[in-house]
Amino acid sequence: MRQMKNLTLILLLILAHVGVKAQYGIGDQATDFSLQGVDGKTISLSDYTDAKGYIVIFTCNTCPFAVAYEDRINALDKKYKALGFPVIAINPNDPEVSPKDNMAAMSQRATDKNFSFPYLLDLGQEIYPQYGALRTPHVFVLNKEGGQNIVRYIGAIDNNHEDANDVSERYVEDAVDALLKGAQIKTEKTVAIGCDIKVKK
Amino acid sequence: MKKLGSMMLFFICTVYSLFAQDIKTVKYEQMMETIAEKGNKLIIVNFWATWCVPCVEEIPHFVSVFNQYKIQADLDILFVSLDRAANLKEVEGFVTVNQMPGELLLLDDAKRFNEWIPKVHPDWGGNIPATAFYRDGKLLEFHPTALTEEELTHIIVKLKQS
Repeated sequence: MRQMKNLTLILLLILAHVGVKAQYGIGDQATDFSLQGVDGKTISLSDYTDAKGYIVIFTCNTCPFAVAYEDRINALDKKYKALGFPVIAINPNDPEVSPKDNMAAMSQRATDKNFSFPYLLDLGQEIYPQYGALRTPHVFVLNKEGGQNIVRYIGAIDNNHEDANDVSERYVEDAVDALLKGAQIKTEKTVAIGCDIKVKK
Repeated sequence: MKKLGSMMLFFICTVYSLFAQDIKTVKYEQMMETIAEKGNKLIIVNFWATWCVPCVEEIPHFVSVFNQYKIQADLDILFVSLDRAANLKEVEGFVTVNQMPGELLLLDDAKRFNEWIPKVHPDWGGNIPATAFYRDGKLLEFHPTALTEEELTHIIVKLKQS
């Protein structure tokens, strides 16, 4: 009986480890989720029956990079929601480790910055490891294909976090534009400096 | 008169350099040249920023381990700040308060992140802190996570030449 228990524990540990290690690649199917947003409502991808896809952005209140991108995230949502690609923002940080990322602070931020998109909290931190988000902000563009949400772009929003007026590559816009046209995405993956995710201790 | 002027200038520069930590603002290529110039010393390259909480937390450990092992492990250290160039003053303040040794760079190459991050290491997602170990300009190990004092010591002992 005790052996059984140990075995279960080992299996659980292996599963947990795999869960942390997993990271979506281009072409993988992305998981749906049910997470609470700043307005108290629980949001899932499947709620958006008319969407052609999603711009899922792992972001937060506290990272200066995330803050630098707030206006650009709002602009992405305003532009692409109408075209069928709404922005869904998810804060992956543990609110105990990073108190300024708790639901009350998120709600305040969303009001102050007039977020036009849902801002959800990954409470329990079960979603971001499945996507393989490493930092904030980290974008996953999903495209609905045959009822599944397929990952088509992973990375940064654009190539200049410091200055929105001095951007020469708009990776997310280019990716969504290509999907809307049914064209090949030129840059499917990018890396960028960002803040690490605050993991529950 | 001219001679006196240049002597004065030399004096001012010398005095200034005693008090101010010299932080060079560089692009990726210059950073790699700096690493290569260290020759066959074991060189620790720590990527950090003043806004990065885990980076700021691990730096005192890096300072103490480096000071302890610099002679016996023939070490050098290069702190590469990823702060904005506009925040140089803040970086200087942090460097002085924490008495950060070795060479100090500010990598001002924001628009080319997507180019140089994979050149440092193909699996690096750009998250910091990250620490690389080089000798003769060659990458020996890369850790895109925070390191404890024990972990850092362990790596140095493993990589030092006997």
